[in-house]
Amino acid sequence: MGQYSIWVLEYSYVSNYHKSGVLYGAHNQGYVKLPYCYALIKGNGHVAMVDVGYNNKDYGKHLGDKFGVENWHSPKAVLGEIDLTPEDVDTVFVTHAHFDHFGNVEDFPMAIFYIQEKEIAKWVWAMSLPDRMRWMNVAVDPGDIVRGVDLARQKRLVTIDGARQDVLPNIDLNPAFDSHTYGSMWVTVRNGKEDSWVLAGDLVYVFDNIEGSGAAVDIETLYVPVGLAVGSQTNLVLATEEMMKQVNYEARRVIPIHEERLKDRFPSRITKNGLRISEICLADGEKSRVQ
Amino acid sequence: MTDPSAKRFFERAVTVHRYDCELVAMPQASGAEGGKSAVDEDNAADEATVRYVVATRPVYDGLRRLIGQVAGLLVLAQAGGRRDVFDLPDIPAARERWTEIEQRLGALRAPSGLASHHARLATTHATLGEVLEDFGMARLQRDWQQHLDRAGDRIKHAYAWLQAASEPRAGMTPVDFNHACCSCAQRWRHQGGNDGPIFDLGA
Repeated sequence: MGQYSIWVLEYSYVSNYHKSGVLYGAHNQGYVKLPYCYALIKGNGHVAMVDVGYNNKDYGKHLGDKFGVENWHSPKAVLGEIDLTPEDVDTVFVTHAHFDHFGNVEDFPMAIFYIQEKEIAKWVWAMSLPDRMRWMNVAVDPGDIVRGVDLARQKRLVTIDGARQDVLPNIDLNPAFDSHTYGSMWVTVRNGKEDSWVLAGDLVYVFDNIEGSGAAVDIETLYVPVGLAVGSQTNLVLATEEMMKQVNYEARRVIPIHEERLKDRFPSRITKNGLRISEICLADGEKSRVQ
Repeated sequence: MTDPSAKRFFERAVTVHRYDCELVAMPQASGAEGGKSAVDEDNAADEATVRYVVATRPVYDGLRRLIGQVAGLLVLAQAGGRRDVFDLPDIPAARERWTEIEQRLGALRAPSGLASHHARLATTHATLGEVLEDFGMARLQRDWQQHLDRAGDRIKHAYAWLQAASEPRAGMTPVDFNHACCSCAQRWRHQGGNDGPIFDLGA
């Protein structure tokens, strides 16, 4: 038990995502379900989110038709399942600026958003490059950055430079520069001594990124980076080591939000909308939302 | 566009080839596509549409990315309170791109039915020009905040105009999803693929 409760809330999913997208080098190994989720942290008088999902109004149909993204539901519907509303959210940690993490800021009208300054600065640089290098600005919606301008004008967007401890009491932000994206970060919730949790954003997609098979090199497990990085796989592996160090190498405490098998490690349930809620931990006095 | 040959030409232009592929502009040899020429004279209007779409994609994409650049600079200035943003080399680079797009935009010939599409792109471009002027004013004047605020309003308008000019079927979408956290495999399956490359470099 501790100060904060954490839930991972599914808001949409892709039924068949190629495995090499989530696991570096896993070519021709079939498909996995890829849930789209955000995490919610509640405690110490705060309701915080790790990422906010994407903007279905603008892209829902296109994503559904072209990429098979299914069953999107609004934050109001998703948070309602744990007895909260988007208006209750006072803090949002944006792990990176991809559309499915930073695309729905308008649905959280009371929140202060935190993002790494480098994430914005290097996207600006990437957007300025010639067409032949446009791969480097994939999956970023200029509209999200435009909405970021509005947040900044309202003093609701905080750009940070590097690590920051106690953004909320016992919640830390940790950068992983030039990894999945230029200014990715993960969130560490220190619930108590030896009771920390890492919310990894897209630095870890699935359990195998932390506990990949090491059979080929005669070890039990090894870190295998995610399939998409505009930075380097080296930086992803180094970030994974830092995350693991923060949780005393207890792999289950690093939470990958695109992992369908969270249900195998944590209590969970499927909502009436067909979306999963995984309950990572409960604060003292908090009731379960999955039982 | 109901005529099959025109439809084939359209699809060749917007999905098979990149927008800058010279083959799109070249006449197809008779018999190159199922024994028929791609477009016959009766479909001249459709061909004009296709040529407009192909020529417009780099303009659209340039505007999309310019909005991202400029909005990002505004975020850095607003959220970080950093006036030195206006001295970054990114701003002359943005102006240079703006000028390049102006030239491409001027060279576009919109078929009559697409004049309003062209006008939306032109308005996006003009509005971005005003934002860049605001940047210049903010750099020079003591009360820089008011210029930032005005630029913030204008960038929203520019983006709204770009959205109004978006056309997913022609590859004009605000986000490049091609390698994003969604399923290329799904798209490949929708296209009826069983073998061969997953990535559609032309889309």
